[in-house]
Amino acid sequence: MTQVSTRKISVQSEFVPQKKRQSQFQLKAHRFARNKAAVIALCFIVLLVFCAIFADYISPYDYAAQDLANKLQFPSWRHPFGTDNFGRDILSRIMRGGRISLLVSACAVSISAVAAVIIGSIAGFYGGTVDNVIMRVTDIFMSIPGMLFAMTVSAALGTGIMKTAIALGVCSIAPLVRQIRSSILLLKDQEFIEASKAFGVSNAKIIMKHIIPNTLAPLIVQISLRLGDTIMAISGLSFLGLGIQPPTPEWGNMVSAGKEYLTTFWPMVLFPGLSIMLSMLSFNLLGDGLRDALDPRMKR
Amino acid sequence: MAQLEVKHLMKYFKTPVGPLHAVDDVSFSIDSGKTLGVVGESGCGKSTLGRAVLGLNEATGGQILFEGKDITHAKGVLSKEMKRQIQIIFQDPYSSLDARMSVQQLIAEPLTATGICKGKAAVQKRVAELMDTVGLASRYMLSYPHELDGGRRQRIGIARALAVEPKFIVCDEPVSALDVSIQAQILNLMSDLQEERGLTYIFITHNLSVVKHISDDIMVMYCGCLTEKCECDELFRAPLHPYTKGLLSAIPEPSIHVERKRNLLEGEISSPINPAPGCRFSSRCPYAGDICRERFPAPQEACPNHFVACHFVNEINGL
Amino acid sequence: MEILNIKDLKISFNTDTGVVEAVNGISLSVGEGESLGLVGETGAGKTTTALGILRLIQCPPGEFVKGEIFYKGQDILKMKDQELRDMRGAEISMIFQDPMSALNPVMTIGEQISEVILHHQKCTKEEAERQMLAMLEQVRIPAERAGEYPYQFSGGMKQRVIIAIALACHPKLLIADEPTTALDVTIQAQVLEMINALKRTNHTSMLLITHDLGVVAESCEKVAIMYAGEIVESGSVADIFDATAHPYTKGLFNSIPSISKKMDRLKPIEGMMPDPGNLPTGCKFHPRCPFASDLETCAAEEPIAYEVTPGHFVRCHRCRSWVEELKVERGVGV
Repeated sequence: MTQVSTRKISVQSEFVPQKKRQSQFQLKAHRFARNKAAVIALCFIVLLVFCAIFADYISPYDYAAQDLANKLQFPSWRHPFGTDNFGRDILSRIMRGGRISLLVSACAVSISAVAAVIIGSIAGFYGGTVDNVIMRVTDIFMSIPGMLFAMTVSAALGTGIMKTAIALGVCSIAPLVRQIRSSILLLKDQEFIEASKAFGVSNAKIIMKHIIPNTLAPLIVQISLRLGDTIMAISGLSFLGLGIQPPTPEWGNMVSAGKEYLTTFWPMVLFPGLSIMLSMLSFNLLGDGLRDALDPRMKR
Repeated sequence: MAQLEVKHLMKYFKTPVGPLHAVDDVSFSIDSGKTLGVVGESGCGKSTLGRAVLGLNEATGGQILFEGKDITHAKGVLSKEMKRQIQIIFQDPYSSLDARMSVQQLIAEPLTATGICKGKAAVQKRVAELMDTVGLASRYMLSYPHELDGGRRQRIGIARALAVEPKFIVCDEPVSALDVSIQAQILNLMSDLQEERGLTYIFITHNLSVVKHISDDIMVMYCGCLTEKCECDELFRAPLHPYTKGLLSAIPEPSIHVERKRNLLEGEISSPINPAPGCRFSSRCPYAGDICRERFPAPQEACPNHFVACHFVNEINGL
Repeated sequence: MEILNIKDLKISFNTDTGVVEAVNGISLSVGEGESLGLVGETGAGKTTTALGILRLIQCPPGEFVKGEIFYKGQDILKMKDQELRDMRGAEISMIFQDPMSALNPVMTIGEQISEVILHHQKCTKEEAERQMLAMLEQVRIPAERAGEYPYQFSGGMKQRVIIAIALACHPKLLIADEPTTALDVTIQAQVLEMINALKRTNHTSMLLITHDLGVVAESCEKVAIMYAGEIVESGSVADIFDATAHPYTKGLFNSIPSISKKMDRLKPIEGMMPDPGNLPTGCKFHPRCPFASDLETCAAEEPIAYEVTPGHFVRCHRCRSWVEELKVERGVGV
């Protein structure tokens, strides 16, 4: 008698009213929405992606149309961002250039993420000698300055959109491998993994159900931070003449083209430069916002 | 016949400075439906012992027999069947639950993993039953562990362990992380479940009043070794080992009428890495003689069913 | 004379989801050389009270809503920063729960003790070192270990070092927040005995925060039981342990398995601690109270502290009517 009754009471006497259930996704979206900076960053990124995709339809001028009569115009109603040294509309070129920047950085980050997940998981799961060898190799890669490494690879591969993407992707594998390996190592010793083992859950299932979902959140955060870094790196390479070659517009080579006019005509440097800065800032803010929102241990 | 028999179990861990003797030559047996309390201070090897029984840590030496079958190094089919029979409840109900899974998913995991329940409906029904058994209201089915308090999280842990219908549960400090009022609720739940299902428990804890409450037999461990093992009441009434005596007199009791004979133990536990030969307790023992520092005392039956590992047990207690 | 006197202190935290009322109008006092045990479960507001006394609460999000904290007649809440800093460590010092993280890992323990002495007493380095060695001897750590670093000490030894730092300037009041919870029983007994002995020789008052009624029975003269930010019962150790009046305190005692008595089943308090951001109306304990159904006032009205016997205060509607009935009965009897 006592058994049944005590249990009933313990259930009934919970007086705290249960809040309306939210799905885990809603909860995360809600948490993310409270971070104003991250939301603004996300809006900016959406705008950027939209412009990049539909650049051909929404840009006021053809990005390549030259109008030498109207070259080096300061911003006006007709050309909100002005025109460059060939009389091309800077706004249209920035929209079109954004497409290249985003495309290349997306490709580069995908390449490095896929490679890093595979390599990092192997190192994390198997440990021992395999881990040691992989980690020493990444150490060697990480001892080379990123930009120098990217320049070397792209000098070897040559210029072009895909080749730049590969160059940048390869050089950000090493730091990502380290990230993934450490989060897997951390997870491997968690008690809930041990608990699942005690039920006889197979290794494959543990990896699929526990380890991968738990590494996903930090990975997403890393990816968004990396996207920002890569945009910066592409522009850097293009500025140096190693990435995307003119006449294809790209923010980096636009800054590069404008540097000769720096003292006399600022719009050519300012607007593409601002684009690089704002997009990188947005990706970083987005990454921070995601990091806070995706942590399931954060209350409410 | 005893349900679980452990013979001369040893578990050493490799460390850069030498082997760490986590469990050293421990033997005991438990009958079906009983509770063996394992008491000791942190680092005495009690958790390692529980994990070795479970097969989470493979034993370095010795033998573990479950219902007569040797499961010490069991692999494959036998191991899977054994894993079902022997379950564990962890100390920290937070880190032992995957924070990304809802209560329902957490309780369903052992069901689907072992193939006990097939089909979504059957699993759902079983999860609801289990939640009822451990006193979790069904409205928490879609909650996540971080939304619940420690007591409810521990109930999830218990439901998970019960899901596979085990006969034997290793309880590794199941109430140490809980507040006293919640602790009492969980202890009652565990006794009820034992009565209903005839479960056998190894109850590992450092809390002596809890272990007295729940155990039939008690085993005291010190630095990886068994120091004393006997029936629960007898241990508290007439402890024979000097360490047990010190341990019992150190418990602060919530009463102002208890006359305390202070028997304070000096010093602290010695390192289990490369331990010196002889009794591990000799450095703190007020009675230690030369033989204690030279020879390891094997547990001997000082009184019927009362095992003590001490060279001077008779002299100290006037037996 | 009273060293510490808290009057109607209320501390809340403004979080994103609303106001969390951590401490709800508590009043307590600690006399000279006296030890008060503040007992409660997780989330009862014990630690907030302790940090509040030293004004170590981050404001915001924390806020001292109302109340006064008098230390030797001076209101701590009105002190200037400099006065506060002079008081902390020298007049009132605190021992934290976790000995592992309370010490600076890159300073020797000797340096850490002398630092406190040098900071509060205008003395030479040699004098500070002399006092440091004396302090180490008091906590029974060999003087030759003064040059060692925290990682070379075990948990119990670290807690001794922390006690030495806390007592280095001979404070009048020691606030000990769960000083032995992280320690093993035999080490706990050593540390408790040492704290008690030091307290006697130095004539220090102590506010001991714990969830363990056993520890209180061993080292305190007065007890205050905290629940959901309120003191529900307070009095001498004898009042609380032998004339337990509040249903929550009774529940606490019934929840602890006894070493000396055999019992088949524990009688725990049903239900869970209320969420401090969403406290029930009336008596905070009424949803879990086995007697609350008798009185409709429990859910509606907040009980005020009622003096059952001199010095024994209870916040419970039921106790009040119960005691008055008793008085009437006795009056009839006489």
